[in-house]
Amino acid sequence: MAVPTPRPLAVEVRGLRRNYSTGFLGRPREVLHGLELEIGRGEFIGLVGPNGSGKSTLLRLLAGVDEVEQGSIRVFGHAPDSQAARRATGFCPEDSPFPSDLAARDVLALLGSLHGLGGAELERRANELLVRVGLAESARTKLGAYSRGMLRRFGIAASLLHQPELVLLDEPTAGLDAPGYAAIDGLLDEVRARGATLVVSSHLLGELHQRCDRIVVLVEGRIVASGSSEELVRTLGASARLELAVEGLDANGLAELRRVAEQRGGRVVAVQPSQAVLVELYRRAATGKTPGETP
Amino acid sequence: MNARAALFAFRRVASPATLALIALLAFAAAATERSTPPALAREGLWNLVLVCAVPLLVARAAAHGARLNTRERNFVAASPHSPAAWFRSSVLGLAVATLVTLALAASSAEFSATNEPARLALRGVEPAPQSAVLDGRAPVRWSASAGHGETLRVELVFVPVGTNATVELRARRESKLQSARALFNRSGSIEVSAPEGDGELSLELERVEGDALLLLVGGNVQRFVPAATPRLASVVLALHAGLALWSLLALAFALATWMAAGYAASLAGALALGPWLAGDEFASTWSPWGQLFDALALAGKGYVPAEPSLVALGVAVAQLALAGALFAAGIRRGGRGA
Repeated sequence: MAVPTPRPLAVEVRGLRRNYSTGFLGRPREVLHGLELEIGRGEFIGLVGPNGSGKSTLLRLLAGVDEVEQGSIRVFGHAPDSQAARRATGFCPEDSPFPSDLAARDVLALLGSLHGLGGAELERRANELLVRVGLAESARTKLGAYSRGMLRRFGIAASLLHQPELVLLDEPTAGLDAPGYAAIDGLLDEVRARGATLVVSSHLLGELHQRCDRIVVLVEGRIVASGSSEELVRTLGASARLELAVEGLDANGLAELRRVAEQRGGRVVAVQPSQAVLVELYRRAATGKTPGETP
Repeated sequence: MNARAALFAFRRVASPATLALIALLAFAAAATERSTPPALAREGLWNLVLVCAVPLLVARAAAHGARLNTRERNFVAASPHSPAAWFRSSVLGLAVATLVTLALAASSAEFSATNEPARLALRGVEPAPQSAVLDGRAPVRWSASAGHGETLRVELVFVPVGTNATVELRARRESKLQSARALFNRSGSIEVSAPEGDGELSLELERVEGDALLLLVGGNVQRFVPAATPRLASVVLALHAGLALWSLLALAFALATWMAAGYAASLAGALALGPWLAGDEFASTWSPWGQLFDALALAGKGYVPAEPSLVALGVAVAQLALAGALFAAGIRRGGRGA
């Protein structure tokens, strides 16, 4: 399904197929089935789908990490494994691929120099990013000693170091605690603000729908739906389960909201605090204030 | 080429702990070698450092290559550095690791080899009659090209059919004659200085006394010039070892993008040392490792060996080029489906 976009293209995928060899005899298993996708410059794309749907494979191909065998990909008009495309792309894969025997700041220095950065500018950007993702105090610690959440935060910082025009994040929030989630949220807002294109994969739709321009649903290597969250809801009709983020309501207001929803034939399945509430609770705990206390 | 990627390879292959271990071992051994004759001490120290350091460095170079193509592949492949550029940078790091290791080897060897008189430096090899027998009946004659001030050295194999044999080596140019005598009761060598003049130099080797047989095997005569200092031996050994070790590390590093690090290190070692270990005479001419072992043996006898030949240099460069192609193909292959 080709999705036309009015903006100049950042990414163009045509007839993309991908096979993996499986089993002792190396039988090929097709992971992507002739994918067609266009992503406009500055667009924020949420790539969702169940495990094994081909999200990570697609991101690796877009990042030029894996070789395109069938079909074609153009990133800003270049092949994804070209130097021009790689310089314009920041990729954060699902697992940390960074040298675990180096300290965070050394990895950023190496990565920055590979992208042609150096001197005070590199140091400034590296320090700034480490502060933003809450790793400034662990900058001299070897990555091997980092927790999974710290590695995730570091991976996202590393992918943004050279201020790429295309940012590819594979399950960026997996393993993150609430403050980590908030830090990444802020960074993604900044990436958007400077007009970069973002492709973020997740197997959870809820994480993405609020901020994405478009959600692409990938199932068994095929795009089964693509559009804004409202468009996806319209596609599914009344059977869609929706998540509504609300703030500024007390218990009575919430009860009223629930009543209205039920009057209109809906059913409120769950009411739970958002990530932001958890972040605020953590922050207050850290500053010694009680949960009920106002800042 | 990227300096930080080179530094990364250097740190991986020659970590401070690895270098400290090599230095500790070398200088501890050097301190206990002081009663040994200087040439033997020098050879012993070089052998010790090579035996200890080479397997360690090769294993670490292979481990670095394997990590770059497995756990760190997404990092390598997503960077704007091409596989060929990664290889060039890494090989620069491996060269620095080799240099540091050899500097440690040379300094420890020279620390142990003290108070040594100046000796001779090998300048070349002259052809001599193949498999000639010195049995006292007729002298063996041939001509050579050696200038005034040069020394000719002939290796002889002792055949114990008698108790001993005295051999005379005569070098004649025009009317001038230089001769030397040596008593043999086991295999050894005899040396003579080349006389003055520009004419053709003729050599004559004869058993003048004794009942044992001596064989001129291999058909080569070594030509030496005076060496400014015997410490030059370590410089030349460092050149040989540098060429051999650097190309071996690069091969192990590249092979590890195709197989497990242990297999890669073993295979690289077998490819580099195999021809020499198999006793192939030709291998000591073209293999950097063959030339290194010949140079070590000569240094142990108190001479300054010759620099690596152009053939050995060519083989090392070819090995580096092969390693580069293997690495680039290995990284690309890693992205072609699991």
